[in-house]
Amino acid sequence: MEDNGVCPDAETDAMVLNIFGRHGFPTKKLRRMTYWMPKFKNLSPWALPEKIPTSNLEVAKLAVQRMGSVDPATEMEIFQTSELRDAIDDTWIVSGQSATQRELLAKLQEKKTVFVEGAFPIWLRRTSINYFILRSDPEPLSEEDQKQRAQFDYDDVSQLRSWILGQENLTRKDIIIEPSVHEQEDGTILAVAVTGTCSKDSLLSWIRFLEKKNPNLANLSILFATNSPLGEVIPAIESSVPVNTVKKITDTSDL
Amino acid sequence: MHRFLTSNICAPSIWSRRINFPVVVPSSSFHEIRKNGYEDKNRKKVSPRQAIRDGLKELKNEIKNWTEEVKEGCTLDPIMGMPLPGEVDMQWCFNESIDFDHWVVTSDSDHNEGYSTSTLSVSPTGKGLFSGNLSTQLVRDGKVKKAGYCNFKSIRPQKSFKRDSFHNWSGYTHLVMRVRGDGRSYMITLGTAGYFDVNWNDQFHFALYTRGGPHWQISKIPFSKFYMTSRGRIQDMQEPVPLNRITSFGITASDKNNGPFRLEIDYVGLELDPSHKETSAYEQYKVPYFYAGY
Repeated sequence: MEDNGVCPDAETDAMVLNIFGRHGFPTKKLRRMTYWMPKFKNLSPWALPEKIPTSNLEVAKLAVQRMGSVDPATEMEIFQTSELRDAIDDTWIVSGQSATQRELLAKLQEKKTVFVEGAFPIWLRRTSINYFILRSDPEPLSEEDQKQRAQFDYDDVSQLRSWILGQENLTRKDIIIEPSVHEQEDGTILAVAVTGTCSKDSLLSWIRFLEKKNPNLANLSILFATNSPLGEVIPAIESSVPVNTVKKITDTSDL
Repeated sequence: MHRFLTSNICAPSIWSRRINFPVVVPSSSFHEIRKNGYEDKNRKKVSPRQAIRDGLKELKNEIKNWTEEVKEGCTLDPIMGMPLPGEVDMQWCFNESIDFDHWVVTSDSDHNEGYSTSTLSVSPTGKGLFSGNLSTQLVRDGKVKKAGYCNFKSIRPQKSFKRDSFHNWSGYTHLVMRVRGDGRSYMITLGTAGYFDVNWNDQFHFALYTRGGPHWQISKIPFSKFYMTSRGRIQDMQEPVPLNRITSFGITASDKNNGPFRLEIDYVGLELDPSHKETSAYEQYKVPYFYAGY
């Protein structure tokens, strides 16, 4: 029972009590299970349904929801590649992007490189599914900022300024906008997706769908990366029809 | 005569076909019989003379360590009543300079009890990486009924002259970890070996749930949620974690899923949260004598 996560109930307890008696090992074991199993059953902060659905699309939806739970503003969208004119694969794409990520994308300068990386596995209890990310390199701090941060001493009280005595003089430079949860030291995560075929073509379609809400994506150069600092990559399936390696997606006139 | 490193144990071999410990407790052995672990059958036997020579080589280093300890004891500021609330005091920082001698990585394939593999390394982003492949495939030797675990843990801290010591985490209420997992659940183990031999295998466990995905997560787990086990077997009488006597910290992957696992760790730290008043999350019930495990 414990191997398959079945919590005992009152009926099982009565049965075991009648068969094995009150002072035997089976009853004691069952009562220990009744005490401990409910305590651990719903502990995970990322709750999953009791039965994980078998269809890939449903699992993908759960996965994107789970990964997007880091930012409450994440929106999950499902696209069908058949809506696009040039798509080779006919599959679904579940994409997760939040308003914060959209703002970050919009602020990227022209010709900056963003990487489509994947596939990475994510496990949902017993099933695993592969997902892809859209990532841009982290913004390096200016030399001045780097120096300041390296030399900063939290315990140094000699630099405390008193506003009562008029020593505190805050300027615009002293305030920064708090970095969002997507801006990490190994890159800024701009979007996350799961596709039905995990092929390069479906990723291409994903980018085209993202461009609808992120017009700035047309100005950036998009690289399909085979290596990633985020970990070992399961390479995306190459499409059967040879396609010119897409390095730049500049014109959106075909949408 | 005293034996520094090994103890020559004479055990009757007639019954020792399946017995892994000496049957007769010899009165001349220097060390107590271990209550856990595997016997190292290929251990080299060292002569007493060589053992003395090896010991003397370490003497210089140990005396230096001891003098440093004495100096620290004289000059160190007394520990204030409690740590700063809300601040995370880092215990282990995993980066390019991990000292792999401080970590022990094991899996069930080490003693031919399974087929899982695991490694502790540095990830491409410069953080610690615990990864490998978990396999629940059983070894066909008739003894193994369940398989599939991978584990890494810290070695027990030692004072000068190889004296076993503890981590003292008193005053803190939460264990804080910044990790990036793959959605699998891991188990955190705090070893808290006691003084008496029945307590040598006391451990405290709790689950580390990971979100998966490309984002880092900060898991803040109160010590009151850790449950006590002895060699992994959950005990009936629960108590709060003895924070002044922590011997090791470890993470285990054993969630019965066949497949590769990957856990990136940035740091493991401690925090004091004054609003957390719980001492132990597991209520105790009054039961007849000798009913629950005493």
